[in-house]
Amino acid sequence: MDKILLYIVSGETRASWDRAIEISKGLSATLYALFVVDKDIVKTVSDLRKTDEIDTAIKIEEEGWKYLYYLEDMAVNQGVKTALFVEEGDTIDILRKFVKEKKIELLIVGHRRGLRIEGRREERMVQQLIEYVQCPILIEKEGGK
Amino acid sequence: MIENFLDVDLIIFFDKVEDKFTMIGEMVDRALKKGIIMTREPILHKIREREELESTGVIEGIAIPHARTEAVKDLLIVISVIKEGLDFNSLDGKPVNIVFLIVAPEDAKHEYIQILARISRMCRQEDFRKSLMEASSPSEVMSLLKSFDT
Repeated sequence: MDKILLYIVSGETRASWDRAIEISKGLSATLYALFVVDKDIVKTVSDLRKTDEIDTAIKIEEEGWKYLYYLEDMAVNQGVKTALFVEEGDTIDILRKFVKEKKIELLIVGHRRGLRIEGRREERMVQQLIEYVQCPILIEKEGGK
Repeated sequence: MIENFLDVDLIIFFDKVEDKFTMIGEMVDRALKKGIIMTREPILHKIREREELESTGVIEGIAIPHARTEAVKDLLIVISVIKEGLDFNSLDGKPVNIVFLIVAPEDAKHEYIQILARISRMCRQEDFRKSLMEASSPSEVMSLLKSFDT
């Protein structure tokens, strides 16, 4: 296996980061890490905070880059080759295309319990991933719950 | 945020460069001549080590080689503008015209990641990339960075 993709949901899904690094290292695979500035999330956040959608998207994207560079720092310290990506749009659509275009062999995604709005949205997202993304998916349970 | 780490003397214009490591060497030498860093080899070694592990040609003609090392005391940003695109072995295979070299002390991880995130985010903006590539002087690059760093 050469190409593993970690979809970074948020900074609270660190168990999936650790798992992705561990597996990539074990298989000497390149770890692709992707953060998506999801258009629906941008709209929801800007509606809730009454902020401009462009400004909200900028803030979310910069936060995403921080997650990516933190992950990269962890991975590189363990000798794992990484490639970082940020995309904008619909998460499922982007993941589906990304997996196909980059010939990803394993997708890793963190999953939290759906107790909050974010969690419920992530649950739906995981269900859609299983349905639409054409590669094996490892769902890492976050927080041991 | 980025403004605090910029120095107009650390913005270099090249017509053409031989290869990425020669250029990075020249960027580090510029900081050495300015007295901002005291040593060259440990920094180059760290950058080379990182580049061998991963190519940092990240965004449409812009590369951001970066590393943390005890060889620097403060976060350092050196910028190169290369008229004739350079093969950076980037994932998209496109030549690179702008290089941001970012080197930070080992204990400045948070600041280092904030700067990387800000620059990466700015570089995804098409108008920023276009303006940078059309810039003709270090002071123009400096002004652009200040105006887009919001």
